[in-house]
Amino acid sequence: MFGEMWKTFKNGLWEENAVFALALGLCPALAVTTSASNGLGMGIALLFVLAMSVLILSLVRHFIDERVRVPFFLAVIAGFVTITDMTMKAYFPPLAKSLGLYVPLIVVNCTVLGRVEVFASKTPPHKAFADGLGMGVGFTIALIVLGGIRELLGNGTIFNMPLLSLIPTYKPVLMMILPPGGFILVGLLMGAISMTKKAIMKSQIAKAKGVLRDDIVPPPELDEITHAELAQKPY
Amino acid sequence: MENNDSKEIKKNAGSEELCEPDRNIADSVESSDESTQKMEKQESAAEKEIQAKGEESPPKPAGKNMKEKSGEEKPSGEKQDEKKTVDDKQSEEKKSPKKESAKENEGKKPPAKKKPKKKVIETPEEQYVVSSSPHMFGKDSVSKIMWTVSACLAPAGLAGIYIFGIRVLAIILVSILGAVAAEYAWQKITGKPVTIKDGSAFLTGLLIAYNLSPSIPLWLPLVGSFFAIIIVKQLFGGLGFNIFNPALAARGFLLASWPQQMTTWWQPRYWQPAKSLMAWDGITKATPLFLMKDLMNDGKVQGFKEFIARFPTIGKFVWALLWGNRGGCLGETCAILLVLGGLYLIYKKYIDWQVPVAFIGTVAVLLPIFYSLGKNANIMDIPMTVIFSTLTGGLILGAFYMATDYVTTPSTVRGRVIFAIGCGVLTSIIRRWGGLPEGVCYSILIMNAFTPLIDAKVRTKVYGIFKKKEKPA
Repeated sequence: MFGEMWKTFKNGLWEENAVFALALGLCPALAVTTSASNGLGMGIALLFVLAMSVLILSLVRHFIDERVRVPFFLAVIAGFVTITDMTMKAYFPPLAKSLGLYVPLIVVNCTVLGRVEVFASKTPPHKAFADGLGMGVGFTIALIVLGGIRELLGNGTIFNMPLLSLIPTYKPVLMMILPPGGFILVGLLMGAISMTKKAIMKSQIAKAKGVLRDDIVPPPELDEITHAELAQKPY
Repeated sequence: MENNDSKEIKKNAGSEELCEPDRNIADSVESSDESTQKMEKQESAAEKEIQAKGEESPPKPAGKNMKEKSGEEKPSGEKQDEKKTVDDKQSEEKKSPKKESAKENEGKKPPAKKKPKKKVIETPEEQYVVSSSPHMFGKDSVSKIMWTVSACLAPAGLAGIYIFGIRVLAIILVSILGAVAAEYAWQKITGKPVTIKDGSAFLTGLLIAYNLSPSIPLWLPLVGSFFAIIIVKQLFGGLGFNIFNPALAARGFLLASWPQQMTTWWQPRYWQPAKSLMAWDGITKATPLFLMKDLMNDGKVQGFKEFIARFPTIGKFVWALLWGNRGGCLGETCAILLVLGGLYLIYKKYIDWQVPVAFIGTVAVLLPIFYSLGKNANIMDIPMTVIFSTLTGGLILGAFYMATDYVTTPSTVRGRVIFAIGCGVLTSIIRRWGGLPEGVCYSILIMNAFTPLIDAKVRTKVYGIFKKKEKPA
């Protein structure tokens, strides 16, 4: 059981990373990540909501009528979002202020809805919980990476600690904090990650075959596999 | 699809085991597609696939041979027949509409056609080989066009050096070197054929430099050309695949990233006409458009007339604008030389005359209207307003050299005119109401994004096909 859970958990970190592989939840991922701490706060908020609502909805999945499932999902998610929002406002007011509207908007975040609809409503709770945790952690990591790079280049700091701005001649790239910088960075990272995935797959095949990696002609299926996978998955 | 699946699964699962839906999915998936085995059990699936490949690979050559053999055998019978029938049809079609033209063609063709015939005639099959679309070849190659455009731009750059000083030359060189080096490095790293000799990277670097203020620090054009070549051009697939004009996208990037450095203008050495204005407004923000915007926003100037009245003589003012003796980007100021270069390009038919005319014309019509909206306008101001709005900013550079880029503009003339008019409208709106004084760069970038849409809507008529007109009832 734990092996299965671990596998499901790991899936959300790299193979099906919510931002970089599934391209879900890009709205908060782009809007909020002007700094690493913002990314961390948003990621943890989403992690909590996702894991808890996935667990609850997976427990009660047999009692939900098929026709009213979406309102039901939303009600549960909204409950946890309210808890998160209020907690954040009570204990981390500056963070709540900088995240602003994007915390309440987690209710309609497509990562949460997608995971609930696709995974939690069809799988037993322990697996669903592991999936929710994995997806949430993957999302958090993605947001920290995005926010970190944008803050570092655009402001010269990371988690508000001066790093690049220590160099006196460094002129921060203002655009990285602005929306276009976020879009460009997400695109570049997605491309880099899918390239890495292909390279890893290639070397795995090479390892299994016992040949040198460079000798392998990239099989055409490599692209088709991902497309077929995407076609099979309902989101 | 999903809903149906899930419903079935739920029905199946119902009161039974929980894991069953997964199995069902897995079964259906396995039966439908081998490749998705990977999802279910990655390691075992990988091994299976590899085994499968290993098993498949030895018989492959045999299969190939079979195919080749069949390929050799079949066409002798079938393909020839097909081709003959096709040929018959074609010949009928050709002969029927105009016999005269066919004769004329026959009269013209032979010298060109004879050479291939010697090779082709051997087998009857090869005689009917149809090649894909560029049937007519011009002498112009990509590199020739790029170098010609660069040469046409060069005089304006020399004028910039004369007007702003030798520093301009350094900026231009750094920018070009950066662009060419970026292209070379990228193509070396990714193992693509190195195409720095075709001049496209050179031209991009040149245009980036022309879009910068003469006062910028020298590392800035370097960053700009790296951004233009690698992110805007090469990551989209290289020359011919970029969506946005690389030089303008780089300018947008630089302007968004380092606004202070990008909008610190130098005064030209011979800028006389508006000295009274300079003293009054500070020397840092001093392109004519910037002044205009500032004054209008502050309410210090109500209409265009008052703005012009601040200059000592109108004649000197216009002359300064024509010769580029004004603040601005280093390559955009000298209107006369830019227009001359553009006219040469039009004469060589490298660019359409419609595009610059439509672009500049739209601005010349709209901007005076916009400037006089809500003010106490005077008809006598109109000629002066037209001159002012066409000769300032980067309008001429943009209209002749940027809005006519082959890659990022529509492929039909009608489409390009729509593109140019759109640019003109956006430029006028940005200049009058936007936050920035100048809008040529952003208007062209925005219209670049519309290019696929324009291309989809504006198509050339297919010869011989008519739409049926519906008769009014």
